[in-house]
Amino acid sequence: MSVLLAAETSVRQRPAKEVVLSVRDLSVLFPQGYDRATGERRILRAVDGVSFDLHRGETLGLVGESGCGKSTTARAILRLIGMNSGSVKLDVNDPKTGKPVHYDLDKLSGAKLREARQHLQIIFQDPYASLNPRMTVGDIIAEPLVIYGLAKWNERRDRVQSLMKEVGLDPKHVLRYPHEFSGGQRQRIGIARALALDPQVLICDEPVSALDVSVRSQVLNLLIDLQSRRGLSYLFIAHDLGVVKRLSHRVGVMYLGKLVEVAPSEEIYRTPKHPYTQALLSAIPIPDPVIEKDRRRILLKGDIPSPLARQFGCPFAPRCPQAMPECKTIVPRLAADAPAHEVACLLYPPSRTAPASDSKK
Amino acid sequence: MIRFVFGRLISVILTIWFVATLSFFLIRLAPGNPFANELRGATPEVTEAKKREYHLDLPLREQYWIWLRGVVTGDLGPSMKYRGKTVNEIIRQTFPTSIALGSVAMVFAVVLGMMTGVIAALKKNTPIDYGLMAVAVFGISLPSFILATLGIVVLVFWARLFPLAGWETYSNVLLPGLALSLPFAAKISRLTRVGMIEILGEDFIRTAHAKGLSERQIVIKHALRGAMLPVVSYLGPAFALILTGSLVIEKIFFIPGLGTIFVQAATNRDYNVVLGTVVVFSSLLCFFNFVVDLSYTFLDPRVKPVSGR
Amino acid sequence: MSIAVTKPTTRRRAWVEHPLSLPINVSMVLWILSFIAVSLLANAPWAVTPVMFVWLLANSAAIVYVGMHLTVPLDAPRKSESEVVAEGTSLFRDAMYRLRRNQMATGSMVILLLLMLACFSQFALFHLIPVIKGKDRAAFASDSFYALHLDHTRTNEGETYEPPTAQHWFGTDSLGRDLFARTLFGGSVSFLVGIVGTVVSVSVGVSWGAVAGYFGGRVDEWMMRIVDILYGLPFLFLVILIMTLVNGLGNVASSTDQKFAEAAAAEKAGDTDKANAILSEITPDQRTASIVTKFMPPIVVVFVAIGLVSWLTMARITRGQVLSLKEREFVVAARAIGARAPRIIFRHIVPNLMGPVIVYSTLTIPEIMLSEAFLSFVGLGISEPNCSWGSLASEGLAGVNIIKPYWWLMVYPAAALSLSLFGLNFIGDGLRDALDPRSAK
Repeated sequence: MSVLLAAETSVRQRPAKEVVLSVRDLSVLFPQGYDRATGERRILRAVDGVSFDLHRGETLGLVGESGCGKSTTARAILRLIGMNSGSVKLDVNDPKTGKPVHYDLDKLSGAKLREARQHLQIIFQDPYASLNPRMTVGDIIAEPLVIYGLAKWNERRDRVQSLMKEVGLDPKHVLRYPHEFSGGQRQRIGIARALALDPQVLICDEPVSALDVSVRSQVLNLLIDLQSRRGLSYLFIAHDLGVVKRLSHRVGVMYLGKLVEVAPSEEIYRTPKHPYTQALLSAIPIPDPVIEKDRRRILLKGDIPSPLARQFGCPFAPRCPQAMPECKTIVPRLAADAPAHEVACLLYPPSRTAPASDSKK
Repeated sequence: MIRFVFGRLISVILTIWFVATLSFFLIRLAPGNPFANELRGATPEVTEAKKREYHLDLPLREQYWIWLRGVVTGDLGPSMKYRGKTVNEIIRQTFPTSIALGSVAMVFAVVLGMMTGVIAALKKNTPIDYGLMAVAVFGISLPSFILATLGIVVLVFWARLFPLAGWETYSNVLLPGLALSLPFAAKISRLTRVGMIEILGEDFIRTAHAKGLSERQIVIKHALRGAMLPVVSYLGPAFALILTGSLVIEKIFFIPGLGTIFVQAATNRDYNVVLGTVVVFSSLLCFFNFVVDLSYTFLDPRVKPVSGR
Repeated sequence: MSIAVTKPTTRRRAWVEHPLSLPINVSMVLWILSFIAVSLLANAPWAVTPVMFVWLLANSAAIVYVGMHLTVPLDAPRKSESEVVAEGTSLFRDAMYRLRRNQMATGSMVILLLLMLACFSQFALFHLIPVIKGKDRAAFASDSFYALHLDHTRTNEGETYEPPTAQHWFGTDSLGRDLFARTLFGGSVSFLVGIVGTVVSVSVGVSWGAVAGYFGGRVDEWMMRIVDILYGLPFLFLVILIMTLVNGLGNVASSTDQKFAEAAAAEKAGDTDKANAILSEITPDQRTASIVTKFMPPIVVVFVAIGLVSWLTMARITRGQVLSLKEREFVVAARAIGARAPRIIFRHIVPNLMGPVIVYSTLTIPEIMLSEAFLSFVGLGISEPNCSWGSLASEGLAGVNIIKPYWWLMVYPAAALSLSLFGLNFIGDGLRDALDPRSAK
């Protein structure tokens, strides 16, 4: 996959600078019982002060190793799991009136939250687990319509069939069950379900990582198509930089629950700043034996430290090839080093300033 | 540990109180009074006097308080049908019988069940295993009254091994005890077999084999302990079922136990006797469950005696 | 030998075209409602036969329909397990295939269906034939098929304690009633108690366990603590208390009804004063009792009471399943598309835990039939002239003595009861093995 995609340079049209989803200082903590030795409460900082903006029609890629908190971020934004602090704001246009509506997702609950979720949908990683095996495809895709009462039962069928066509499924298969489809087709079902509500922001939680390499490309093309047709904004999560490169306008790199670098796609691939990003990028194989032969890889030593451990300083410091003594004490701040290129590393002077409230812009 | 025991004791007491209260109001809800047949045609004054004797003229709430106070102090009140007898006396007379029957059945069930279960597990997928398990299905499906009748016909009428019925000699308790225990023996046997087979497939058993322990030692020292767990957790419900099952068995074998008294009292509406037996039975049951819970924490080190997660 | 492997025709639930296609929980509720409606109507003499008949017909149709879905034609070529898996059939069909290969279970199913058919047809014909012939039950000639083999209430003083003969296939009882008819009638009562009780216990248990498991935390802790406490209760004792209450009510109600009838007769005869006098004797309590028993006939109380006390294990099983199911991604997905708790529980979680629920409910049916038999045996279940296998066995026990054993009184009902309990247990075990092949050996 990566082999195929790394060669393609994707420079996609930069969309308008209109923020639809704005996340500030999002933190999700999981209490993990008590430490036997010290009796202290152990807390897993799954997401630790993440901030970013998502613009209209834009794809923001979110990459990082597994366990770095990408999926947790996605689910916390949707309020599928509770967040401990931070704010999530959603600015969309009401599909009926066309007027802008504002939702403070972090403060909503009940009916209002359900209303907001109509505009913010998610595609899941595992197309085998995310579809109810006891429901027909038609029922699955129609369910959001039923819940929100968006279509009468006689219109529902047409809506479902047009959605199925849109995502490249045969509408004749409306009565089949998920187990009768291939992984790629199932992911299309999941996409159709997410699109049923006509959302404006779509969170894609590693939508292709569980798929065969041969069908990834098709699903990614479908997502790109849908974006240009419907003007969707994507928060696209992956652990594969190649996949992200193909889709994203901007890329954010996460490490241990923190965003360490955010930059436009072409820039992050051309001039990565954070040592972690550099290491990640160097791991992508290049489909040219000549280059590949001489290329130097940055190999990271050691494992990811446990997110349970108390952190002092930069979380990447223990593995960083360029670590300095102060990295163990000072927490770097995500700040713009170049225009639109933010990085959280002490190698870059802006990160050394004390964190101000609302660090971005 | 102390907190655990204490917490469980409180819930035991609450449970007994709950059952007692529920039964009290259930039985008072029934229309008519216990003397409807006895005092047919009697003057209203006589009926009133009779009612006053048993506090039945008071409002329900006061009746409840009087009765509850009695229960707490260990006085279950006078019987409404057996003249001049108190419930305490009746229970004192019949309770030992029921306990004897119940414990015989319990012992039979555990010994028989564990033995056949272990044998079936060790002889897994042989005719012995299939045979034992087929018998177990029979034991589970056959109602105990049918088993008991079969037992009477075969062992008493034909073979003349046991005395017919009644409650005079020790051999009197064997047949009813056996009939009562068979369904539970069958269930325990199946539980033991499944538990044993599971344990015998575990790595530490293979290690035990490897370090040269004999089959007997492995079964007794390692496997049996693990296989005990599901059995122990079944003992609580089994005890409840044996208690209720004894109602039928006592009826078939004409055993003057607490079960017979309960059924009679329930049909005659002898309020105090019914409530008294219910209190005794539920205390017994709760206490037994309490003991089972405690022993469970000793048997399985993974079960921490701290409630909550 | 080469056999053409034909793909089994897959039946699919019609979508949108059949608005009546209902999820299983809804149909369960509807069935209970229909049952309550039928049992209420059954108290009105004019409605007994047609209503019962239609209801039984509908039920038989449902049984046949379900059976058709569960069984694949027996002449279908046998496939190896790998072939079946390769076809990508659903887990359920796969399990049904394994079940059909279990000869004990299939045999039990056939025997049980035959038994049920026999019992329910006596039940239906007993009510139906008098209506068709336009005759009173008592008016049938004593040697007619109806009087000999179908009427379980007909007494005959000249024929008490007859051993099995060509006339009375199973012999007669102490009142000269035909034991064959009584055994069949007792069977329909026992089966109905088993089925309805199971439906009640499954509905309560599944809902309780699903709610506790889904909400978790404090809710779960309290709901499961309640289950723990209820587990420790001597439940049959409470059922016995309830039954004495009901029987007491029944006695009051029948004497009240008698008074109403006397008053009506007096009124008809023109003696209004006497009618008023009788009516004025009826106390409000008696009136209430009469009305309550109209709406809750004792047999329904047996159904409900036993069902209500046997849902605890079901709740525990369900909770365990739900705890693992609710972490599955399709449940998270359902929350993301805005589904509320009831929808998630009943549309997404409950249908996915049907496997263990089906297994456990087949094992609950015999348990409940056993409880009913037990109650009737003690003398607190069904009342005369109706009967169940338990009450028949109880009567039969009285006939077991050394001098002159009336063995048939015990043997036939006990054999029928044991046979169906065996069958149900075998089916339950077979289903469990089929749905969870690991547990088999």
